[in-house]
Amino acid sequence: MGSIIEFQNVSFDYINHEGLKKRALNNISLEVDKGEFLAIVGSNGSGKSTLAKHINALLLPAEGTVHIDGYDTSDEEKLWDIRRTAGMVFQNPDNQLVATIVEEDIAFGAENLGLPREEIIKRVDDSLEMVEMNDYRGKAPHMLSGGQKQRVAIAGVLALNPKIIVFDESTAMLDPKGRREVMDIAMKLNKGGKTIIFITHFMEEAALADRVVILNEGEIAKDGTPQEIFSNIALLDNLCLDVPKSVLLADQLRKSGMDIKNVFSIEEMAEEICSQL
Amino acid sequence: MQSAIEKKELPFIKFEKVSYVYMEGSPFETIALKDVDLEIMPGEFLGVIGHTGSGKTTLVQHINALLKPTSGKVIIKGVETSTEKSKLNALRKTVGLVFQYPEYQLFEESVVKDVAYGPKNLGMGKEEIERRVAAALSHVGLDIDEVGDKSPFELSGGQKRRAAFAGVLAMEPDILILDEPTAGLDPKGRKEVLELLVKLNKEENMTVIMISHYMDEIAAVCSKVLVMDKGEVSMFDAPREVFSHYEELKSLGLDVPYTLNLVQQMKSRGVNIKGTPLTLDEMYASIAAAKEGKNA
Repeated sequence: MGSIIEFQNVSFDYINHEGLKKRALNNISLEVDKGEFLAIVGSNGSGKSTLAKHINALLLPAEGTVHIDGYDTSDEEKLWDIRRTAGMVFQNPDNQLVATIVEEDIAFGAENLGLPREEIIKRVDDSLEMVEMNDYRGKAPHMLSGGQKQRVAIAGVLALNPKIIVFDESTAMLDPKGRREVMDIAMKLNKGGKTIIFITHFMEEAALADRVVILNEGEIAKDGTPQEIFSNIALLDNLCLDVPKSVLLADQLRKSGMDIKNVFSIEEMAEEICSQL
Repeated sequence: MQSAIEKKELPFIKFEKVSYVYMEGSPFETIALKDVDLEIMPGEFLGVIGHTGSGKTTLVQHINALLKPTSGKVIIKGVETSTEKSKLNALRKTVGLVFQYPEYQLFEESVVKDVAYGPKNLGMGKEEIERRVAAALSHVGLDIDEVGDKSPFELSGGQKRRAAFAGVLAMEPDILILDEPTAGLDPKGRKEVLELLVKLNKEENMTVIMISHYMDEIAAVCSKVLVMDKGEVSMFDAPREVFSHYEELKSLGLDVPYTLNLVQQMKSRGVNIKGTPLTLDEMYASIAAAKEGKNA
């Protein structure tokens, strides 16, 4: 009960240029609860994006099943219900916007659902409000910064009123300010009840999630709380992932006899150190 | 003839009162660079930071004459960029420019052909091209026997990025400019790219100019940092000096390395850390010193 995403023994193969099968996901079983904020990390080629694309039936499993809010993703008749349930925000802000005006772009998906005009207007207004882009509603998307474009892309997904939002490396191409903006919105949406799947290369972002899954060569290498995952320096090193700087510093300070807990935000780290001085 | 010593003292790159205006005379006229004076010495590893729209990219595009100043002079190894075309070819061989997401520019059917493209266009002989391609691929850590005949599109993200770097390195430039070379890579890929740049700078004496948003990367590898703001040079100094201006950088919308954010947070809790620690080891030493000071 309570899971909105269910992967059961899911495997998936890509066919490469030489016509050979390459396993991208291998026997993945994963359940995500309604309202959970799950971060997925792993090096390039670990299967993160392949997994993400299974959540809204962009890809279908070769073996096993994926259920999204009760729908089997291989049930073609339910395709649009699935896509409406799980929205995706992709990596490149320039590849996701289709219209020449911000508010038209946000309305695009909602219009395709065939909703009444008043409902569309309301959804566009609410979505713009949520991503704090109301002042830009009449602007051309190409005049916006990368972070702003991603916020518009998020608003477009929100207008479909999905229960799940998947961020597939949506912060990778942004500057630090843009990254923070996107992360803040993801957290705000989660507080409002949305289930969030956040795929990222930035461990400081993943550390803010409720739960973290590490993928490695198409398999789940570790599934746990940020505290469990990011305190394990050997594990992260082994999988070529960044160890948060606070954890490295805390480790060094503990060796010199200071009593420092593993924390992830700079504020908490300063607190820990100051309490020992 | 100049003596070797005199040559060494000459800046590789010199900006004299350089201004650049986009779409001059139109309603969209934008001043992208304003009275920039700058001297960059050979062998420097320069980090360029600045808020989006501060003029970073416009500045580096002047170094290989992709852009020419609206007023003022840019002089690269003694050659002014607003000069006749014949000299510009030599200049473009001297300066290698790696754009953001350079892997989007891979286009040939094999990695070897893609890397060979530049030298081939310069009309070099077959043997020289082969030598350069082999050297460039070995620099970036790609095995020519393993990936040489593969399509660039079969490579992983990090490998594609390095193949694109190899294409620029095959031109054997003295000055290498990179716009956000680690953006979008995973942690391992980022580390590999930085190690490569340090190696080119230290072992091949390449002058490296890197635009980056990652202050920890800048602090770790750069010998000098240039801070751009609204088209003007705001700071140009050693990393420790630049990053000690915490408030000023924050007011420009820029971040500082992790350690200095931590120092600031500790300060607001009444604990002062001496100096400007840039690395975790330095931070550790500073904390140990602070503890000792308290206990003494």
